[in-house]
Amino acid sequence: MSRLPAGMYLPGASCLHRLDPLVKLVGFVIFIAAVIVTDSVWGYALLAVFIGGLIVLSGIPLNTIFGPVRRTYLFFLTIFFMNGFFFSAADPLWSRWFFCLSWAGMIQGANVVLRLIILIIAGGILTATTSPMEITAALRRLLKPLGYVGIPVDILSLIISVAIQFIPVLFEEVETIRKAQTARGARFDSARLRERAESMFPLVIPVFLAAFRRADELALAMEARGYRCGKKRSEVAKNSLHLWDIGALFIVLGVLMVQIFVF
Amino acid sequence: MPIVLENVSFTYGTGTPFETVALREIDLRIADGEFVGVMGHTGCGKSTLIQLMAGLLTPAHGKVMIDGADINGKGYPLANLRQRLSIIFQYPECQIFETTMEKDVAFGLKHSGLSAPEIQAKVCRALESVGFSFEEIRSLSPLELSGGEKRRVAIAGALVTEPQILILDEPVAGIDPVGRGDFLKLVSGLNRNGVTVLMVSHNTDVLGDYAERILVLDQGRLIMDGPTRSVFSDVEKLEKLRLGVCRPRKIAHLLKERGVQFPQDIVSYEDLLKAVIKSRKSVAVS
Ligand SMILES: Nc1ncnc2c1ncn2[C@@H]1O[C@H](COP(=O)(O)OP(=O)(O)OP(=O)(O)O)[C@@H](O)[C@H]1O
Ligand SMILES: [Mg+2]
Repeated sequence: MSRLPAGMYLPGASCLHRLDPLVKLVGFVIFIAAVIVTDSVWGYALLAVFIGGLIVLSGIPLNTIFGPVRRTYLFFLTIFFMNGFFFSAADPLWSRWFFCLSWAGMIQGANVVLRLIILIIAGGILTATTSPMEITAALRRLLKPLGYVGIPVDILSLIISVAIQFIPVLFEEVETIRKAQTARGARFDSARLRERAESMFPLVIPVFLAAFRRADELALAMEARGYRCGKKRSEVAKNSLHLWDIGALFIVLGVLMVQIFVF
Repeated sequence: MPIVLENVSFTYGTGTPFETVALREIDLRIADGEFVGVMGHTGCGKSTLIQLMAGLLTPAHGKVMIDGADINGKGYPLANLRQRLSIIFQYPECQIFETTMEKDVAFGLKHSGLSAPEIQAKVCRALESVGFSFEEIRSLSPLELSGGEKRRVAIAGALVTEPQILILDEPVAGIDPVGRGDFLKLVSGLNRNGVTVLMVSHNTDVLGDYAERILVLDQGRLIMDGPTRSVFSDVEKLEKLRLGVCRPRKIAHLLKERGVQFPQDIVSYEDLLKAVIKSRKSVAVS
């Protein structure tokens, strides 16, 4: 892997890293709501200032944050032009056939693109400052009330956390097998679609087999260490909200309120 | 097909917080028919080095040249190189994906342009060279084989193209002693027939027995490169690097430390035996 996959955890000690993961998760959800209700220039300015503050606080390098956005710029351009050209407005600037360029369409396009970019960056900050383990622990705390209505929250969160931890392992597996098959002459980067499609079998089949094998091994190891389905388990760390956790939540809530009532 | 590396450096994750320099300024030339061992601590860059030679990674700086041509140059026929250079990774059995062993071994010949009977003849030869009977194994599925058997099939899959260069990354880890012996015999047989062999291994005994030249990597740098005898002659240095030397060499070294007159140019068990027999004879004569 010569480049960092999007959404990777970057260990650190910034105040965003130390913020309670539950707060970050809930804050992220509130922030999504704030982004969705935003549609004025001042609203975006506020979001930009907020995100800028988060980036500074997190201490994550800028190219790590903007990398995913930069790499998918074509996607954003497409969305922008699709909106710009296909929006049926009453006063088009230019129209022919079924294309119809309008100010309203372009504004709509800019809105969608800006929201997506802000959400991707915010998501990136969340996953860069919160380890997968913390995210699943936070999910478990968040879902806990569901346990009272008979939903097996423990098992659900175990499944989620195992799945999340398997992702990098699978990436590595894919990389190893891709190299091994390339060395045997597989053509993953062939210009011919047929060759490329055919070359998926030598990659996908071994990766699946390896995933099943690992799942078996993990199940065995968990049982050997005394894991039993449905038993109550102890938490490693007790979490309680600190003052600054609550403060952070209020700040995000404030952003949402301002977006709704002021702009 | 000599392999030449000129000032090669490689970095993983360039521009990310996980940037790791895996190789620094490697200069190297491997002639046809050599048997080269590569050793060094875990994480020192051995796998990176051989993957660069196989064209699986592209160097950040410097050139990798095989047969005089830069393999990362524009328009270089990498597909052609893959027919002449094979690489066997650790746990090669993971790469098996076809429904029958015959088809899986034939995978490497898919783009060779050979006719079906020619391909079958080569597959048969490859499977027999790793000790299978072609008729018995050809239609078995991978689910019907043990791990060790699958590994032999995977090795056959790498040998089926009859490569001129064979690269092995930790090939003997996790094989039983008999299988290891058979495998090493196969590899040294190929080497005697002119195949260049490059073998990464932590097992100094195997390197002492088979390699004629040793490369030692340390933190991405090539710190030693020479004939096995001369690399292993510096026991103190290798022990300071916590790599050690092969046991026959170590025994000779310990004898010297005890003040016993004993030849020090020993790397293989064969050398050790010869030296012991010779010294016994000279004792008998005097
Ligand atoms: N895919 C990768 N992404 C990032 N860093 C890597 C990757 N592969 C290897 N590295 C790093 O590059 C360095 C050299 O790794 P390499 O695999 O070449 O070592 P090695 O000598 O083969 O080790 P081993 O004896 O454990 O197989 C190590 O520090 C390793 O952490
Ligand atoms: Mg390695």
